[in-house]
Amino acid sequence: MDIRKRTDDLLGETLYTVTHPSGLVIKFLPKPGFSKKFAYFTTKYGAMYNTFTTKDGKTHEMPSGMAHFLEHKIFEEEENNIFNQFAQLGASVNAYTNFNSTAYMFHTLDHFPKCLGLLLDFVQNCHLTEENVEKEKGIIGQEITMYDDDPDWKVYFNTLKGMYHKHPVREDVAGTVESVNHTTKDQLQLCYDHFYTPENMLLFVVGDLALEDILDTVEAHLKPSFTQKEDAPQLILPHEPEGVFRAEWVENMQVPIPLYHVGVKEDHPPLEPKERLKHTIALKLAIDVEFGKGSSFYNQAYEEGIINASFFTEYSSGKGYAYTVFGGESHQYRQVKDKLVMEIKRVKDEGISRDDFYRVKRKAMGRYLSAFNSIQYIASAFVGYQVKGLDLFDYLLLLKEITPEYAEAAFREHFKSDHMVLSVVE
Amino acid sequence: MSETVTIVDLQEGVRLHIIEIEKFKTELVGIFLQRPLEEFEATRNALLTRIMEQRTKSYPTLQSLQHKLDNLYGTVLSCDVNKYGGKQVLQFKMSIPAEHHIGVEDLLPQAVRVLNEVVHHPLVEDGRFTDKVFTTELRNLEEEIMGRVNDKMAYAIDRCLELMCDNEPFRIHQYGTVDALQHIQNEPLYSHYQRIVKVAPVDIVVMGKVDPKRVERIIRDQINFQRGQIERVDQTPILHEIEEVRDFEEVFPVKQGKLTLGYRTGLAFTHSLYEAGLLFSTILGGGASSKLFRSVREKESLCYYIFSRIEKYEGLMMISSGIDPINRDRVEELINVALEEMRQGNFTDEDIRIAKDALINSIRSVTDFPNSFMNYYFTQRLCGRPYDPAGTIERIERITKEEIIQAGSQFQLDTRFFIKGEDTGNENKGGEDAHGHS
Repeated sequence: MDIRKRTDDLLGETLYTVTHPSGLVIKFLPKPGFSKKFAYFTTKYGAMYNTFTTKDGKTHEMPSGMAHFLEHKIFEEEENNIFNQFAQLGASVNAYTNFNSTAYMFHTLDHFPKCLGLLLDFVQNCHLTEENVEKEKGIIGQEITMYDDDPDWKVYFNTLKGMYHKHPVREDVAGTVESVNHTTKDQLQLCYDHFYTPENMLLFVVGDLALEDILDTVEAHLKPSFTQKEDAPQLILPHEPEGVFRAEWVENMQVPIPLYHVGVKEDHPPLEPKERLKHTIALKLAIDVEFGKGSSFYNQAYEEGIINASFFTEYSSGKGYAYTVFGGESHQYRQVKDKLVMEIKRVKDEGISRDDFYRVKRKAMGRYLSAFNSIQYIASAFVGYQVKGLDLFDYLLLLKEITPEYAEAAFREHFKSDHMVLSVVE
Repeated sequence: MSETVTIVDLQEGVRLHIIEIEKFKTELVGIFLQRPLEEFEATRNALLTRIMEQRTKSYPTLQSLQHKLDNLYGTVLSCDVNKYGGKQVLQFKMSIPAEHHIGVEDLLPQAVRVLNEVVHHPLVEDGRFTDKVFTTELRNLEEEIMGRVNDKMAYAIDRCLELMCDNEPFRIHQYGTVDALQHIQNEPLYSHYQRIVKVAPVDIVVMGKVDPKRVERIIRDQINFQRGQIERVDQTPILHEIEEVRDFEEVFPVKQGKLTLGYRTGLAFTHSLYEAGLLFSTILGGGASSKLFRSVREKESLCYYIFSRIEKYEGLMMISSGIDPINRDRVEELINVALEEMRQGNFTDEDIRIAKDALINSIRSVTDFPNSFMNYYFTQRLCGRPYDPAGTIERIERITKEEIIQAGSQFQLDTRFFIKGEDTGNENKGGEDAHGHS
């Protein structure tokens, strides 16, 4: 097995990356002195993988919400409830699905090798029956209904639906009650067989542990039926036209204060991962300079009373998509949008202030360091980066490299087209 | 556990707690002021924390204060109120990147100076807070209180608690009420502020890889409370008598119903059966291996989430679930069956073991994250208990099945609260734009 070790001096942390002969990548970050240990077993298969081509050249189209449905069913075993088996070890197990990945994780204080073995075992096994697939539909239905009633979720997803014509990020992660009801056992099995493969998966471990013990457990629990699986199929993304699908999306949910998101779509996001990470960091710095709590925009808008402490900015990108969202709660959301439009134009014309840039860079460094207090953050952030082909340990190096000029260029590139959506729940 | 606690009484009613702990990348400093929980004052205190977080005498704009924090390597300031039973606590916290990681020597004293500014030198004009700031934050808090309804899961529990405890201070939300806000004026609020910094018991907690002597020096140099007659805040006794079960419903434009059941446990956190009650609730509805999760979700597919939890200071247990309104009766029936089964002793030693492990592990790992560790430490002190995780774990280990049954047998249903959609005859609009997560 190929073992690489990387150390970050500012953090005082070390990361081991091990590539198993099967292609499975194992990452481990030791955290001496911490009680909890986390393990994430993740597949690079998420909600946007609904159309794909298998080795035999066949293209498959799945109902939306497939990856999430499968996540629920992986927990099903012929005997012995998985939740219970973890609980018996004093551990807690969970999972999530997002656009890019599905992750299964547990945290525990004791019996780490047993828990890790259990995690590897249950994810390598998928026990589907007509009956247990049917049974799950009611549970997922209530999950969808719960999110449907949530104005925060609604305003966010309407923004995505407004920005994208075709790209699958416009589909809800769990699908719809209808797509869930149309999902079959055979479809679930097909997706499981093709996407839960060693080279498509990642195991991330963090805690007060030893690398050798982790590797021994992995070796003992990887099954030939898993390690011999072929590479995962190719994701097919539809051609996404430039511009937004719908510039305004207003929905009535009778909330006391309207919730708004202003989404700005980048038409041609950079593809190469390392370049994408640098672009992302630079853009986040520029956005913080111009729209963060220390910015003139924020302070003026706050003084005018059109935004309050709920105002936030968020940049997100992945395969074939990249966007920024400005959001919050306000009665004067149109004024917020107009002010944003003007400010984006001003920054593109005038560039960003040098002093502010170095202040925000210093802040970013401190925040990055502080985040390493949380072992849960470490695990989820590394995994989140990794499934997009990025490495969190590159963050600081790239942060140091970024000049104000680079950040300015990233800003101009990202906000080139001004393709914008206003989503409101009121 | 490798943390050392040093306690120093700095002034009348001001106690400094220094917690030395190696593993964090930050130092966390918290200043806690205790007040009784009363509707009008709770609202005032919530507003105070909003006003104080914005600006100070030396940093008279939002922007200047934010720039200062950014320049302290992204130090995070957070001011808020919390409630613990009949007490409301104003909290002023700062998370500061550790000097030894950043390579800057005086980050901690600089940050503490700013924190002291926030607490002792708010921006004031003519004996009151700056009018503009007062008005803006009053409106922001009003919107924040009104906006609580957006999170239906949290709102359902808060609202049930409010209806259930209508004659007790526990009903009051830590942010207070919109009604009370209408009656707050600037000058009296400022006088109130001046009074509470004199009379409230104060705890200052500093946590991180620190030298206690240096921390004490920094705190003594930077923070000085003008003390008056200290007003101790007593814990409010809990109620147990129930005349009859009360039913409430609210209608919202929602598809999913939210069922909340409020029980009185009769167990204050000082009661000898308190932890047994906690175990009872954990076996019943704590997590994915609990009775309720297994029957209502896994067996009958009636919900995505269902749980029970103990409200530590109020002597209550709340059960909460999101369900299709047409299934309400069945879900309540299943809850009653599970509860009755447990009271009959129909749970195994393994159920007990799992519940004990869950509680014990949460205590053993409480030092893994600075903010939750500080809150745990502080609330232990608030309960009048020393910080003694080993002692608590030992108490939990000793609890018997009989004690769990005995504790659960005195839980009594008090209030049923249900949120339902406007038109239950049309709960499925075709699911065209539904969505979900985890």
